[in-house]
Amino acid sequence: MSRVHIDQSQVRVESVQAADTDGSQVDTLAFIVPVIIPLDQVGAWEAAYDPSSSSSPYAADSRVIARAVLDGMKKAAEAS
Amino acid sequence: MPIKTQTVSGGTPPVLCPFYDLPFETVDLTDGTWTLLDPDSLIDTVTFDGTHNIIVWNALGTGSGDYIWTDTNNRAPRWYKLLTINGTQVTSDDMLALGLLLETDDSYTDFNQRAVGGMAVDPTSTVSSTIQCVGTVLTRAGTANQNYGAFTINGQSTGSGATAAKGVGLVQVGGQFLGASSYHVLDSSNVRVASGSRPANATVPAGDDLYLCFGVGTRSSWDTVAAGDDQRIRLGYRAIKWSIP
Repeated sequence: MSRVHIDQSQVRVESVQAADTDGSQVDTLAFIVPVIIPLDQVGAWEAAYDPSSSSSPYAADSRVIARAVLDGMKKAAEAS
Repeated sequence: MPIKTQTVSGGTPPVLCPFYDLPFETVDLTDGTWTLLDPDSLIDTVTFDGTHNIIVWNALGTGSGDYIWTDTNNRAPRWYKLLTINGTQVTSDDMLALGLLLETDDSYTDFNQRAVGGMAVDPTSTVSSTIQCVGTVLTRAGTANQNYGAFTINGQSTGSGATAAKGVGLVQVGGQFLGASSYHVLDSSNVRVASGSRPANATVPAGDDLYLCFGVGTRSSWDTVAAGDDQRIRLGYRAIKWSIP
């Protein structure tokens, strides 16, 4: 299974105004959680994801990223 | 006050180093060195009172992403001039550090405002990815807390707090690449309120002249401005070009 990591010391709260992946504007006070995707994992992640399919990626793959991001956010929230 | 000295490399004797308590160069938009680009004629007048620039707006009846600096297109008013250090033009090849000071007047709250100070590659463009501005940003909604932070191309990361009074930023660019912008939000006693950084993550053509750029705008795309609304903004800067062995 593909893996990702979180740069935990860089998780922080900031106000952000920026462009989202679809070009829409993001304007919010938010946790910034840097996700590290090793280059040797990129191919596997891309193969696991079909943007045109609403059921993609599979739940098991999604959970890898979701748990990493939520762990990073939760740890930072508990420390603050 | 202690005198700081530093040995210059290459065997030269110690010289007085001017980098302790180095003052910012204060921006006076009326001194004749700045060019205003204002595609939609939003600026009525600008005056300088010795520390701050007072910018009076014409009416902006309908807000737009074009005036918030963080969208794809940028038609916001901005003043610019070539960035020189001791009379020498610096380019995208040079390794630079640009220190910035940005401060608003707490009593100037006519509209939901924005100011950006920094360097740019092409400040005459109305496309954010061509302007390539990197610097320090102020945003403020009415009388809410002042937000200061790092601005890069068409995005920003900011911090704030009830006592926020000014933003101090540092931009590193060079080697044909726009690096990071970092910031400290300070209170009126220069104690840190918030801080952070943001990478610009963008390449720049070789040999391009760099510009200083000071822009204004609205806090959000739906914000409007009434005729006569004004901002009082101080911008200071100091640029350093490193000699890289």
